[in-house]
Amino acid sequence: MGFKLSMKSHRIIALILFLSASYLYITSLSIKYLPSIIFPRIILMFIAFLSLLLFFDIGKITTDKDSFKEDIFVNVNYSKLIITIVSTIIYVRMIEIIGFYSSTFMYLVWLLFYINKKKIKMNIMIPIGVVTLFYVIFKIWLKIPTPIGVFI
Amino acid sequence: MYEFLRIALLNVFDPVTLIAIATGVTIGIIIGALPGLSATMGVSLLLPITFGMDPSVGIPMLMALYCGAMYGGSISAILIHTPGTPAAAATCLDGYPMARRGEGGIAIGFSLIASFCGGIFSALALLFIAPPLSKISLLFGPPEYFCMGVLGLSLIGTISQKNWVKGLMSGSIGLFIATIGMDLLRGIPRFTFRNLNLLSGVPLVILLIGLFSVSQALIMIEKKITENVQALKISGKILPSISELLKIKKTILRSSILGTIVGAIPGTGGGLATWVGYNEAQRNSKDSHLFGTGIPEGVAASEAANNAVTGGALIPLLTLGIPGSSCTAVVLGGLLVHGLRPGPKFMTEYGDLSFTLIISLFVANIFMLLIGYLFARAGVYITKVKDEVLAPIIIVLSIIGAYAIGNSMFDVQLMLFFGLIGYVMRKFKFPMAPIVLGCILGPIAETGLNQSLLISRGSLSIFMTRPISLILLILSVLSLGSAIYKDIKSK
Repeated sequence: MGFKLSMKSHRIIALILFLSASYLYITSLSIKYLPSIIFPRIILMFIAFLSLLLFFDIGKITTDKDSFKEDIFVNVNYSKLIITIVSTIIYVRMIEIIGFYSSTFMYLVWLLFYINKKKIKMNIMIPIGVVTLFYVIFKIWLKIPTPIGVFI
Repeated sequence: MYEFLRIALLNVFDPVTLIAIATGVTIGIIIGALPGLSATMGVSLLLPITFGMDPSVGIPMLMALYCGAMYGGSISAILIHTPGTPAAAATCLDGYPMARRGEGGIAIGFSLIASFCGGIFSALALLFIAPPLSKISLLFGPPEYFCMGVLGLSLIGTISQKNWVKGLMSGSIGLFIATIGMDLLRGIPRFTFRNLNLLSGVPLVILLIGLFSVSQALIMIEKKITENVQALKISGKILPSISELLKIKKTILRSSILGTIVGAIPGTGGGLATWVGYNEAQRNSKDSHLFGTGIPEGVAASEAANNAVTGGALIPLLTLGIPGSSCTAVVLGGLLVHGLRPGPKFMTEYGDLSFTLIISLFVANIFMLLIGYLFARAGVYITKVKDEVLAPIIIVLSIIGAYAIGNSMFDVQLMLFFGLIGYVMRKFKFPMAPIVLGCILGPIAETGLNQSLLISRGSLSIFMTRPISLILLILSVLSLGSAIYKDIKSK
């Protein structure tokens, strides 16, 4: 499944940017003190203007030819991407519950097993090595704080 | 100045600093050699490690990594025809054909020597240009700061961007992100959505780590087909002879000058410098028809230029507080974390640290030459590391980095949010550097505008009546106008 970086996708991005800029502009109306809000409003209006240029491709000056030749999602494994993002979100939530180093070990083991299914030894040794190295560098040597949960 | 130099020499030649610089160079070469990892990413990942260090140790370490990464990109460019960093893209053109002919070793040698020469030249330029330039920048007042912000934004939005609309869009998004939080002059919260964590705004380092590191990790992990790349062997001698080097001395010098100039322009960096150096070398060479077939001159031209960016990019940072590249934007973030704000008074108030940075660049380049030579043949093993193994580790390092800023999980969540934004923007070919520079220039421009209007009682003529600000405004208009004109003409 591919997704050509066509005029259509540019228009979608332009529309998202235009709507976001408009929403933020409307949000700014609640700030009554004008000198504080004039600069951000000018920027938001400029973003809206640029997104209109992108949307309508005014005078064909906004597009670069290379963008339309490339299928940007043709070599993308969507499930790998989504699972990585979801795993990362869960991992971040777990850090505060379990602790940074414990949850990092589990995260790395899970993700490496998911990506490299057959390489069992590597999928265990790398997380052990990485977490140990990080523990030595950040906890022992540099004393950089990390979240602590039930475990370390 | 001599007193600052004396202290700087003592700082740099301290054993701890020397070890830090050597470590930075080594990590930089490794990161640079790994395709998919950029120098900016490497510097932003190493940044948290410097939090616990003295700035006179930590910041040189970051710059050393920058130097090392700029050279390291040539290793994979030469051995597997894939630039390790965008700054090594032009090196592929002649480096890989040389490696295919069995001259991989000597190609790496030319790259190393040229990188060293470019780096030393830019360090010399920094040493001699920065101090007098910082005196000129003391003449800057609020109108000049505003106009400088406008010029910086017009440059970053248009230079090196194929699509100036996307470049300006990225810059504007960066400007907007900088307005989140309390208004600097009046303390009124803006766009915080009643979240107390956003009152102090979006920390620059969080933005950098998210945009550059997390987005890159996602791009590395998303690939459906993982190519099994076979790196070419490094055989034969590594170091070229003196006579071989003397044949290309003009090319190395020209590229070093161009790289330093490009580096000094905000929003550019090694990616532009490498092509400028390569194209100019080809244009001025007697053997221009041989470029692309595998000649040392091609390798040396691109590598001297990209390493010359390192010193050049520090010139605007130390004198005006504006980073010349996204890497030096991270260095700026590192300085801010230590409570130091680069700007016109930086070289006088923190002269010892400024000169420490400058002298450390010389030392970093010397270490790069030594370490690069010693481990040249090991480069083939670095290129074998898989993206899918590195990507999760990069995410973990990014999380440590984000948490270490303010011991807050909100910062981690914000960093991941910007990582997703960065991923989407990269897929749709929006440049990243303008966002960062917009974020840095935004407060400078806004504060300058507000203060100028207070001084002039609301009159905009203040920007036209002061010579420096008028010149800066004219340059902004010319820069934007020429980009639009070039784009229209090419269609």
